[in-house]
Amino acid sequence: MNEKAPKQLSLLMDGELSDADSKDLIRALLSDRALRAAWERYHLISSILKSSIPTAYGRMLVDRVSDALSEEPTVLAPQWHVNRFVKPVAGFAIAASVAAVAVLTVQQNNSNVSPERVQQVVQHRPVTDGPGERPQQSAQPKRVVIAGTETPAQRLVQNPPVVTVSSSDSPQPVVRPQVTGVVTVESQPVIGPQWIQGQSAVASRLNSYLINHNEYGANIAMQGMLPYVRIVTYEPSE
Amino acid sequence: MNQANDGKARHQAICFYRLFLFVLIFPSSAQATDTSATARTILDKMSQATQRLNYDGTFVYRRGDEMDTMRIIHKAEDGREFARLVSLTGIAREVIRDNESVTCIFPDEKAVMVEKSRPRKLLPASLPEPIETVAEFYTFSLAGTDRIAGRSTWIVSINPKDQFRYGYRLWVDLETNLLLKSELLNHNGDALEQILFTQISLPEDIPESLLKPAISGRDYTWYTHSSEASAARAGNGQWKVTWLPRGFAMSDYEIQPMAISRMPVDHMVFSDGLAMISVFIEEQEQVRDTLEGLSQMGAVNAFGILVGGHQVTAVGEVPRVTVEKIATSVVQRN
Repeated sequence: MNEKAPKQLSLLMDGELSDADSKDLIRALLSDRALRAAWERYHLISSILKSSIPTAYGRMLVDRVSDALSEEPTVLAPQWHVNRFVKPVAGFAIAASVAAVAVLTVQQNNSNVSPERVQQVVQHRPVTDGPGERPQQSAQPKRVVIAGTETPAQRLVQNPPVVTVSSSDSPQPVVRPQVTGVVTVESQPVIGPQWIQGQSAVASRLNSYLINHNEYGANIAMQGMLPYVRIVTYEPSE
Repeated sequence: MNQANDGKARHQAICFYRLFLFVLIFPSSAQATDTSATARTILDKMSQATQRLNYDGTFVYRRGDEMDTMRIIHKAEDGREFARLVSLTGIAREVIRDNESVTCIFPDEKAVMVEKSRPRKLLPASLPEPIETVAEFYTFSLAGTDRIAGRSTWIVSINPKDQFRYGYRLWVDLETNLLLKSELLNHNGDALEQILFTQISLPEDIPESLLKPAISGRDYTWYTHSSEASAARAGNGQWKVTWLPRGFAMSDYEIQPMAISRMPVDHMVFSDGLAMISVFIEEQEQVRDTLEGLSQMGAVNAFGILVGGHQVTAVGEVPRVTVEKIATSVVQRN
């Protein structure tokens, strides 16, 4: 398995690998057992994250299927093998696996790029926050809209600058990177300011509201301290 | 297209498989009402376990395409609770909670926000009466068993009967009753937020040092309300919410001091027994930047609107339409 392989596998799972590269990679998958194992691991990670893991998960199903096929008298085209047998294992919401891989690898990339991003945000910051500062006089709220249009895979690979700050008062659709599948953000445009940690007085107040809201019991899926994950969460892309 | 069909076929296969498993595990629970009652009993136990056990675990929190790993340490001692939540990825934000206060530490902003904590109630579902009420708006069921963080779990499924609330899928430890995985689901069944424990231990004793913040906080800006103003008082009914989804009722109305506000804030709490919505009202002059429209944090939606010189904000783990309709229905009584 060469160095590029993990990245290419992710792209293939997302359907973002070019046709030519896909062909090469599929050929490699057919001949490289380690690569097939990686492919299967990625899907396993994806399945676990999406809770769709079959309890009787059979390891190296692809291998067993292709072993069985090799004993068949008819010779099947490699392309067909992959489409017919790999995809059902792949299941749906394939891109989730990229997020999983990103967890293992992207952290380092983030630490490289974060200060720059923070800098950008700070420069454009409409309101600074601090005690003893006089209240903002303007009647119109400043709107901070941060758009990230890159896919998780792109972010993993390129770390493109994603921060754009708009002070326009017209509602701006916020394009969120969509993961094809189970975990989704509601797709309507967000009209008001984003709940960006520490970016504005609005966010601070919303955080304060959220803490007080949580103290009344939060919901059943977020028991005890868990509602506070929303406050602890760091948003590298926003 | 092909893939969609595959996905559908697979989904059906999984459903069938779960059904099969379910029949194997619950031969006596053919009647839906039985599993519904079992599901709610499990939720009761979960609610108690969350508050009464010592635990130290690591979990993944996922919302949209963002993902973080966190550690939670919880200690229960003589009826008192101590908890600490730390982000293990990105910036090391922390939340520390005891019976007096909730302290949020933002090292990236060199800020500490302290709010008053409230005594924890058990889930409303643990009270005998509201169970029947809750069952009117949600369907409870046991969706089988699974394995999370090396432990066997139940899967409890809670589906809303209308579009004004979210659904839940909860993985509850068979042995300890702790929540090991949870999903908050929108009307289409898509997970908006996910929590998944990867490791959890239940130590007999948790040392104090594990519950202390990692920073000293000396050069930090502290946001906290002054102590003389810290007693909340009952709301005087000056404000009224004129629209609520069926089944929601006001459970609290207090005028309470908050760290970020100079004046006490009107805080109304509404619940249908599972979901909760807060409405906050404060004078616009006290608000540095107003919030008008929607805002979102994970599965929490907020909607802000200005009413008669006041900032009104509805916040809750409910769909956008719900916070919007509630916020826009707020009126001031004369």
